[in-house]
Amino acid sequence: MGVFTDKAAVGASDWPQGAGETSRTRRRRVRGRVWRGLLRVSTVFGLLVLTTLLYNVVNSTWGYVVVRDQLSEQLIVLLERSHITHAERRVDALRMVDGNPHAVVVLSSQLVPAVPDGFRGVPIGDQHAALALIALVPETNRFLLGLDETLLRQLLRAGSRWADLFPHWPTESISLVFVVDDDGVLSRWAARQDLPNLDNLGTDALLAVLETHLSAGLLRRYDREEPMADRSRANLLALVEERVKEPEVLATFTLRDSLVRRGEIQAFAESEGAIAEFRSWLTLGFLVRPQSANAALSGIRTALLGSLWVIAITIIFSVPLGIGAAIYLEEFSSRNWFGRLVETNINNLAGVPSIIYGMLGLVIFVRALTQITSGSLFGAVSADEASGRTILSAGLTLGLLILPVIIITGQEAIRAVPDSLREAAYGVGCTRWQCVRWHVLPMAVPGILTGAILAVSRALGETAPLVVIGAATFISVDPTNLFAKFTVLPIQIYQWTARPQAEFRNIAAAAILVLLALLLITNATAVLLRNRAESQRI
Amino acid sequence: MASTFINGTAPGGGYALTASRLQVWYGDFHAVSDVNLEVPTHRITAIIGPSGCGKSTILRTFNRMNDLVDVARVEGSVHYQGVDIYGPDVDPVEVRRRIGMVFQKPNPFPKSIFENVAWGARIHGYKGDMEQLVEESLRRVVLWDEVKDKLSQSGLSLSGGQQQRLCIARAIAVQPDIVLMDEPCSALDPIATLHIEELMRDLAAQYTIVVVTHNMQQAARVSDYTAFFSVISETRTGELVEVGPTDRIFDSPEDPRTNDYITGRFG
Repeated sequence: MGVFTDKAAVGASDWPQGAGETSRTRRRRVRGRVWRGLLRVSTVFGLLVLTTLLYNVVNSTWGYVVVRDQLSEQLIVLLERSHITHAERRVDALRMVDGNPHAVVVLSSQLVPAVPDGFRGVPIGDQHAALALIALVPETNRFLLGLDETLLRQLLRAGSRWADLFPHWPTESISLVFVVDDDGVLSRWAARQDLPNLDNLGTDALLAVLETHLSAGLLRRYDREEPMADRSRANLLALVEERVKEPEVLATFTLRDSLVRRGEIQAFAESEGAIAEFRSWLTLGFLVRPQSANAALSGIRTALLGSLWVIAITIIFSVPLGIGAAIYLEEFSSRNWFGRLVETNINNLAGVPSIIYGMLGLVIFVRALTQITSGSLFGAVSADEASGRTILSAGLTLGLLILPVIIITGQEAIRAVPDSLREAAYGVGCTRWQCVRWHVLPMAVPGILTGAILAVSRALGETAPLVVIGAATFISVDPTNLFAKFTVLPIQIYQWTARPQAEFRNIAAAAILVLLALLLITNATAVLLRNRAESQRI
Repeated sequence: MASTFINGTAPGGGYALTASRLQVWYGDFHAVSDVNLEVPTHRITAIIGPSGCGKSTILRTFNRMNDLVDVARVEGSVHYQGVDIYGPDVDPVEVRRRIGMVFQKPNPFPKSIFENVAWGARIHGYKGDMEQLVEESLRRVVLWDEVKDKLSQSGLSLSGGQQQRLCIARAIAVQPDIVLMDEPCSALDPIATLHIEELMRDLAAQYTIVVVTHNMQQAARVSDYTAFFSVISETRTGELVEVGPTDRIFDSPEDPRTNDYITGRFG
């Protein structure tokens, strides 16, 4: 009996009878179910991991933050409208105004145990509170006899001369002196006054605030970066927020804690004399603000611009080169041992760790080609200031990194074009280039583009090679040319997560969301381009 | 050179192609050995034979299509208009322009019907009226009436038989001397096959046609001359067994292998 006549040998003797499956069928079904289950588990596991990642990022990006300002905005405005001095110099302040009948000194009553000679003391605000304000009026003042809180408020809002308040008062200018204390009495009082906030201050006023509050050394440093007089109002405002208002983040809370432990957070804020506010760390301001040492005021503008610059160089350098090489290898080179050697090498290069490319970039672009990458050859900087740690070096290094990937995906896309199409083209007597230009490339473009863009989005997320070639970690000035120092988003994120302060982890999470969005946009572009290229094909 | 044709049956028009001592290797594999074949001008020459006998390989050597296969190596000569197309100074692009090809599977460009026909002429710098050229080419393959209203549609939207006629139109639009057809009907249904066969007869008045076919009835129906290839079973190398006027090959083959094949006792 042959194999095909012995039906029992392959188990196909009779149709299974009645309700009973044969054990064979049952086993087959169990096996199928096990495989399906395993595949489903792996999918669910993958989804779970991705969800956890996203949850973590989102959890840190939004949430309550407890902030205490060093100087409240109202106080800054208040002080801007008056003379200001600090507690330890109150005696000077008193000496300064002594004898000036047009001055009023306002300070915490704690700072003056008794009304000094030559002054009249007028209690201001809540008289029963332990900490209260006192206004000191020189006794030489003959008209301001009944100063109270209402009148003080009027003084704050008045013009610059006493006569603006009451026509029969002197025409001399009002000279208000506030003495800032460490207990926040003045701050709290100022917060209750109906004063405009910082947004209402003009450029000159902001400049004045900075000049009053910042040390001379700091002012000089800022002036060197960019002359104060040339700075925009937004820039000055940012400086005031960072250096004068100096918000101090006492604690930050995750989105989850913010939702379930709201009461506790509020209580904590009150006990610290601070404000708890729900904050999105990811805001428009976060995108457009430059870096800052203060997490709450820091933005990713410079990192984002750096990333865009670097990736532009990468694209310009590696995409044409990679596609060109792919076309040559697939359509023009012959398949001999040399061609195979080249291909094997390219495949291996695609697997080389990115840090190795960083070292390559350091040696070639940063060191050997300093003259070119620093721009000193083109007169961008003087030769003795030349540094190769520039956007150009970074872009070229990342270009080298993704070049093999672009070549390989390009080759695959070109190889997927059926030979029958090439034969058809050669059959009417076209040259190799005509065949490539008019038939192979149009067919391969979607695949080539997809590969190239995926490679580019990999470059967008690379950190290690850029650390090696020396990306700066703190850049507060926009990169404006190829030869600028730079930082990029992943490095910014890395650097922020390494900071000990909790709020830096929040902005790191927000930056991660921005990076993810950027990658999403890049990949969506790939899909769109592919669909477009495919629909243009008839 | 000794004629392969017996009894002086060579046609008056002479030979469009003369292959002598033609051998093809794919790497170490000797695909076809020692072919001496003359292709008469303005006639249809059919190449028949069992699978793997090198019919298509030989056809592709006639317009240097094998150049595109990296491992392929050709020895011997193919003379066309007195020039050996395998000579050192010959441009294969020029060879393929003059010796067009139609493939087994219809392979229109993924472009419009118009562009399918016009592209070849355009890359050769055709200066005349392109629309007229396209129309005439399509008329000659009896496709014009079917597609004249949808010239901007994709060539791939046509049926298989229409696609193959479009491919023939594309081949003749560059005004070649010779059209090589590699089993042009093997992917088509009988009606479409009939159309193509009629077309081949029409075209023979103006072009020299070499057609490879699996189908002996087709060879008998359309061709003027038939070349029978066989395969040496030990080495799998193909060889030319016999060539002559189709009637003679089918009525009184000289070689017993030819006889076995056409009577169905072989392959």
